Amino acid sequence: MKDNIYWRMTKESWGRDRFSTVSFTAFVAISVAMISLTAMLFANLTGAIDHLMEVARTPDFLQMHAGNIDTDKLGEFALNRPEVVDYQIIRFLNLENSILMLGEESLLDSTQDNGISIQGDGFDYMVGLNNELAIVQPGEVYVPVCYESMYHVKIGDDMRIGNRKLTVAGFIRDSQMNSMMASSKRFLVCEEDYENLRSLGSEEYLIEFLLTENTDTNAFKTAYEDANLPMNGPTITRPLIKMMNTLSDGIMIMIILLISVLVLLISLVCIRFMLLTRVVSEAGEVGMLKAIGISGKDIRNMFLRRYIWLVITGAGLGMVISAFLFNPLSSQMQKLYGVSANGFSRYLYAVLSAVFVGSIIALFVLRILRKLNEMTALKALAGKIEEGKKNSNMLCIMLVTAIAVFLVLIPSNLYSTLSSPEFVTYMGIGNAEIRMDMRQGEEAGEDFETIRKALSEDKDIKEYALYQTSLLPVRLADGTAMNMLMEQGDHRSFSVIYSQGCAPAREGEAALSYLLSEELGLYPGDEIFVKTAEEYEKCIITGIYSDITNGGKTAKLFAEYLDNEENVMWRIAYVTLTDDADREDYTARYAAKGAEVTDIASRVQGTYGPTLNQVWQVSILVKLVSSLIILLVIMMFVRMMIANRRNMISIKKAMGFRSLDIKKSFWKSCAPYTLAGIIFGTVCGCTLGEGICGAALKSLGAEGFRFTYNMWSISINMLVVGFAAILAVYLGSNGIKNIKAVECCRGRE
Amino acid sequence: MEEVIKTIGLCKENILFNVNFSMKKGEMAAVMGPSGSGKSTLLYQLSGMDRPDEGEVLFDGDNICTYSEDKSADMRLNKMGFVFQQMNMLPNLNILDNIILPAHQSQKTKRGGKKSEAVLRNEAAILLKKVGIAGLENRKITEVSGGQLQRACICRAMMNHPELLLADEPTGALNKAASEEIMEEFVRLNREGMSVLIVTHDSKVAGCCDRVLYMVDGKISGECVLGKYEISQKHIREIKVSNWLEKHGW
Repeated sequence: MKDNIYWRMTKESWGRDRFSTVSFTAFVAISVAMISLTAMLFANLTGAIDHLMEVARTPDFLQMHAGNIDTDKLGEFALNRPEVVDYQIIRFLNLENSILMLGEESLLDSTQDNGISIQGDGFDYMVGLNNELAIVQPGEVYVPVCYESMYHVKIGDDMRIGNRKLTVAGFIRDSQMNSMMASSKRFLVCEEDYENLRSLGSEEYLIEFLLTENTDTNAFKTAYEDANLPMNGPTITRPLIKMMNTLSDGIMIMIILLISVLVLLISLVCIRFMLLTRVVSEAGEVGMLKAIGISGKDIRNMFLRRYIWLVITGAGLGMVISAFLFNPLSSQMQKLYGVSANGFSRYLYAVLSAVFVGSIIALFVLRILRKLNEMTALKALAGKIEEGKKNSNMLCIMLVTAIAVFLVLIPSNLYSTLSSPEFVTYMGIGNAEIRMDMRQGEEAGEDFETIRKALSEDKDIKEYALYQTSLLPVRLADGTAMNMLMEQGDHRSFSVIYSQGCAPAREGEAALSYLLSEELGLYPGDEIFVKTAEEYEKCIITGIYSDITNGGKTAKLFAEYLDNEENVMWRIAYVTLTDDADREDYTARYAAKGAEVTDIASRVQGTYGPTLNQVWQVSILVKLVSSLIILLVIMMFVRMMIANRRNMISIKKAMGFRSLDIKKSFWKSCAPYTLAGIIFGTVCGCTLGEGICGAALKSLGAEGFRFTYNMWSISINMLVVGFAAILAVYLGSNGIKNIKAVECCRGRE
Repeated sequence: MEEVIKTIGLCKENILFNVNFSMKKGEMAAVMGPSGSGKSTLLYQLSGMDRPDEGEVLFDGDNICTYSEDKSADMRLNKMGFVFQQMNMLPNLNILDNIILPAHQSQKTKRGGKKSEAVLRNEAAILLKKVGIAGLENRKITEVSGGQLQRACICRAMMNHPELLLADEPTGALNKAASEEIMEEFVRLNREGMSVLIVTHDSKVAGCCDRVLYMVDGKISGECVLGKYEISQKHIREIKVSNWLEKHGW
């Protein structure tokens, strides 16, 4: 570093106002740390998922099927489709959770469909924790990695399946079912053990296809359906698998990104205020420099030099902080998905984001310093530079408070929404207490009739509705033919959320899921033709609803009475019990009749539990960070405002005002702006925040997202932020007592 | 300066009104007048820090009113020196750094033959010695007396060897002894060929100049030619100025 005069000036200016120097660097460091952390987490998550899907050779198209399977027909189909690179049928033995024990813990309460499977032949590998192909020996089992911490399993523990015992030999990452949002989990066993255990469960098939690049999976799906191949179960595509994998940890990254952007915004507001205060306080020097002939551009560069070094230091510091935070925040995703194949990329992302944020701040500083050009030498020398209107300083306090409240409310409202009973309606599930699944099998029709009869006579039931889902041929108005997954029944009860229109209420009416409606360009009032019996019948679309299940592309068709048709894929019932009904007895009674009875609340908890926990943790963290930001920022603003008005305060004291009198007037002037900030932030947090979360969930098929407000939680958040703001004003205004009356007469001593 | 008019405020109150004034190279002149008569404003127009509403300000035959901000700054940096009543030194730099700052800046814009900081420090040390404050280089500006600081200001104004030295009440904040020292310094610089224009209230200061102008209400109301300064005539010149002022009722 050249020890020239400019460098000495720069160093001296840092030392002169250490508070501003440290605050500026801290704001840059925090902003860079947050954005850089988001970039690293995102790079790691997507890189790790891509790498996992690559080494596991995840199928592009997967059809689950329960029932008989014609392998010859499937083979013929695969052979005749030029886009099929490879295909295989993986057997999946669905086991009752009640017969599964991991170590000492039972899987009875698990909301997942657990089962065993063998390693894929040419693709769809289940891999170990180093992403190596898991090779399982007889008597051994590999456990899904997400169960490691959930059931406290260690290598060497026993896993019991009924009365059979296997030894846990390791943990596997299953690129298809790794996410807790996937409803099934596969345990890996060898073929010999699989055959031995076969009698303990019901077998399903995963019909998997590897397709050539850029194949349109929708077209392939239609072709598959048209070929009349086995399809008694959901269809899953590679993008859906990737989305499910990304979603659980993606929500946390999205919240951190949102916070990062807001922190950057707060930093910019504070930096602007600090710089303007500095420029005003150094106006005399600026005037002198201009008077002796130093151009505005050179003076600006002198100022800029000070801040560029601080930006570089802050950015470096921010990157170090983000590197420290990365490991604890990425531990879960690293466990689930491993690390990105290209570990360097996350550092590249971190550096690029640091450079990006640093550049934004530097450009912002440069823009503010343009104010120096507006100062003429004469005005500056005469000290005629405006200190900035009082209101604009107060507006900064209002803005920062509003942003902090906004910041706190987003994760908090998201948590209230995700944990509310109504949230299931976004998942395409009616707001009921119990869901009963009646899968198709050999005796499905009989089971259905038995259950229908039992439901109609059951006194424990307050309300119930039956639905059956079939893949029905559909023709659009333009003649396009396709198959549509349609749920038939009376959709007026246990209704899901309709973003447009309403539930179909009479024969000849249907509703489409948001993603399906968008794909086909069909909206309420449009017509489709559905073949339920022999003929195509006209159906009017009455509504568009949210659904994030089955790939988000489903339809609902009104049916007063459900015929016991053969081509039904699955049947379900939504039930709400009376208050005094015995839940356990009910479950046992209907399980005996062949229904899978699920408590919807625990199903949601099982699916979204880890995500909910993350959102809860983030909401607490954000509350703490925001309160701290509020405390520091408002304290800084108040201190600077006092510094700017030092002379005025001194004059007041000389006139006989007490410190407390002046403090009180300060508090009074800050209070309305703080209050306005809290109200403004709350309104934005509930409206704009809803829009942001809604936009994110819309991409998954949850159209028309609305926050479920918890007034207690909102009030507590407002109080926390308000208390931090009041404390900050109180602490910040303490500096008033250090200003002496004599200063206005003879200057500072 | 030709027919210069300068107004301020919404009511366009005249600060300078049809001012005509010229200085020769190597001349030393003083501008006197009551507060608010436009003396400092005149100085600001001459230095290009401010622009007149009407009229022209010519420096070496060039109308500096047409200069851009940067060109004006460049002119002040390299061709003019400015000494303020309140000194206006940067509080964050020591005496030496304050002095070499404009020279340093001037070197930055040169294309070739740039002087190093060591050379500039040497030159500053010579100037400090000349004005009698050698040894104060590393002092802070709060650690020297008013007279010493004003002499340091003169050194700063001298660093780029200006053609014209403008001084706005340079002795206004000084005691009698310090004022005399400073004026001796100005006279010495003028003898070395530098033009000097001083705004002052003090007839002793004005008595050191070749010519004295008196301003009232933004106009030059009178002129007193004293001729080249001789130390032996110090008191006579001071009395001459006082009498001239008294004669006109100023």
